[in-house]
Amino acid sequence: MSKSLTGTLELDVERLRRERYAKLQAQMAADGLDALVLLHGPHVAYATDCLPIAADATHVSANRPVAVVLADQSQPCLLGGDPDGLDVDAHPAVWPDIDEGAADLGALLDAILGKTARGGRVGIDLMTGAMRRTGVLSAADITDAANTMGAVKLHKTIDELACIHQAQARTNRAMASVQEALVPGVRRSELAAVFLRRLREEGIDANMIDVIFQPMARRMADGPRTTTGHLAFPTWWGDPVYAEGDLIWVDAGSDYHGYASDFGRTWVVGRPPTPGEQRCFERWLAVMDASYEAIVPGATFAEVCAAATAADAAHQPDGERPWMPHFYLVHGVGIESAEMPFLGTDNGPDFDAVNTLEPGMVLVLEPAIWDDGTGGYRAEEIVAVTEDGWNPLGGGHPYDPFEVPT
Amino acid sequence: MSLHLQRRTRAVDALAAAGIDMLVVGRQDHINYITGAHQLWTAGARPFGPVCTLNVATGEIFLLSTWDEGVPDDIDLDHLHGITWNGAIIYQRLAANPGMAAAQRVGVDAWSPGMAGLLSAVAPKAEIVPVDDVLLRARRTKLPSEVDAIRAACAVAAEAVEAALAHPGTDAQRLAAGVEAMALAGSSTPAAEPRVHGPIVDFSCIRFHYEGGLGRTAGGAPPEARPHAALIAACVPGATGQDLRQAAPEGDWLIRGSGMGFEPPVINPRYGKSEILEEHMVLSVSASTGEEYARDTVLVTESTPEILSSEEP
Repeated sequence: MSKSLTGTLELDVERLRRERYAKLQAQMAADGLDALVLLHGPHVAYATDCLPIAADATHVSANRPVAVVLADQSQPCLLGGDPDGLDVDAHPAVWPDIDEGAADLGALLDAILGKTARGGRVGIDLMTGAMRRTGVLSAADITDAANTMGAVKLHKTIDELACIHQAQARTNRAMASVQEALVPGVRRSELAAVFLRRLREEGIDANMIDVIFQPMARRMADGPRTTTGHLAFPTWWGDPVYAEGDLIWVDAGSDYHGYASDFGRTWVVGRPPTPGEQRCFERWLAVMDASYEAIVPGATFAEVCAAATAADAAHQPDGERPWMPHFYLVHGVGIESAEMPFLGTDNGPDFDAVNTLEPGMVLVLEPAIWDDGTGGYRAEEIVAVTEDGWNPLGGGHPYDPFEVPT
Repeated sequence: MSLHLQRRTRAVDALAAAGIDMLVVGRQDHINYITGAHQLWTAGARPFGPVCTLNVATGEIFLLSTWDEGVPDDIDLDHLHGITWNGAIIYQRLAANPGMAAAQRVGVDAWSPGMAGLLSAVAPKAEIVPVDDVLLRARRTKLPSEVDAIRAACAVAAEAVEAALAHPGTDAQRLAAGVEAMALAGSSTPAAEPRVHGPIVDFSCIRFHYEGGLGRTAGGAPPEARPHAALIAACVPGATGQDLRQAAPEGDWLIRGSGMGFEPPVINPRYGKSEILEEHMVLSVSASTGEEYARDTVLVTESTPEILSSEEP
């Protein structure tokens, strides 16, 4: 670990906007783009700081804001959304999901893009069906914006780290209240109610996933069937009532200023962990320690995965790795709840061998230990890769009711 | 026949009539409509990706899901594709999908340059056609069980409205009370962004795939004198967007479909003049005049519109 960043993690909104926009312009130049047209909410937020609304996809997309970034222009254009207080060239709202609205969007884009709309190279992240039907940007040289956006969001600025730190700290505090409410007989809906109220009280108005409190079957064979033959997680169907001794895997994520948190813990209802459950937790700690040790700039993804795997090898006679096969040992987090880098996925060993950790990447470590018949332990921790190691974000959260050995 | 199979029949008929061989969709509401699967709700619109495919001729479905929890029995485990992070695996799955290689017309619910390239590679003979309008047209009128589901969702949203109206404190505290009440009543997933602004309160939720919602003004007029009363009364079969404009009050107003979330038609002062209402549509009808705002969820019937969000507040 390097010296603590936490004291410096105060969000400076003006600097956040300025630095992101400069990165975006530089990446557009590197990618040879004349313009970017962005409809995906987190991308619009990256370009303009018009924050995504945390509502159902159908509502968010109906009159979604659109961002247009022209090469060498000092500010982005924002179509719709709320431009109040933003450094943007504001334009009227559009409704890109309906044909009439898409036609209006096409006319606005032609006016904003000028001759770029006729043969210029334009990166775009999404077109609605209505935009395709009405021929929006049909005369431009269209390319996918995914690579450009992927490149700018991979390394976080100091203010992006501050946002993730704040999101995580606030989610942690809300979850502390939820854990107090976890008693035998309580329902999932009651825990969700506490969480959603407490998030609002923490100043967070963007809950990003329907919060998961999954009671784990002690034997995989008693849980849902899976394509991997391994664990089903996260599932969310129904409104379970928790009984004493239930093992609950928790997963939640909410946004602060457009940046995601990711909370993961394992709880036991109404009693201390059994020795077997505690052993799973201690195996998980050992995997985390080994992973932390391996996180330095320049380390390959494969090196981190190998360190984590070695730490639990004595408990894995079949050579399984200590994370869920449909997921990863590590995923990134930022304007998306899961984004690059991904370590230990089904992209395979070749992918992990050629990709390396770099300063500014944010890592969510989520190993999972399973001892079939006993249950298992899973939790998540967020760190930022620094020049000489890593730094924790979010201020930490206890592992209760599990005991960290001294 | 179970509700999701009735819905799927509607979608398949509409796609067949549009000459579509294969459907490739990524939007959760379209996937829910066709499969009936209960998948994790996440906020915001996702990028376009091939989450579900439907062979229009055979009815064969492949769905992205690592487990069968929440997936109806008619989609077997061998028709589930586990979560993947690997573009090559996505390509292989689509290429191996029976009917894809020979498809002449592949319907999609959104488009991106990257996905268009992928689909052209796996379906080289196919024209890639946006069919969001075809699917939404099929979804426009509601089956009786859908109306029941919407009514139940409205009752959940009403709990939130009631709590926020009754709760003392700041707007943020009242909003928190509304969100909490909605979760306790049966939904921890919003449809639109919840709104508490002084006397104005509006909540909506997604419950078992369907949206319910309503809005009120504290101390506002009785139902027959609310800002949207004349608009609701005008929601009869055959009414055009133009008719509805004439019934609208001065000020802001919106009529839009409500089912598995926000749906067409969209009728407001700017759009939807030539839309025509049909029996069995469900609409969200909202209007503001002066300081007062009101919204209800309304079923178009052969006679007087039925307010599905009728539970007071």
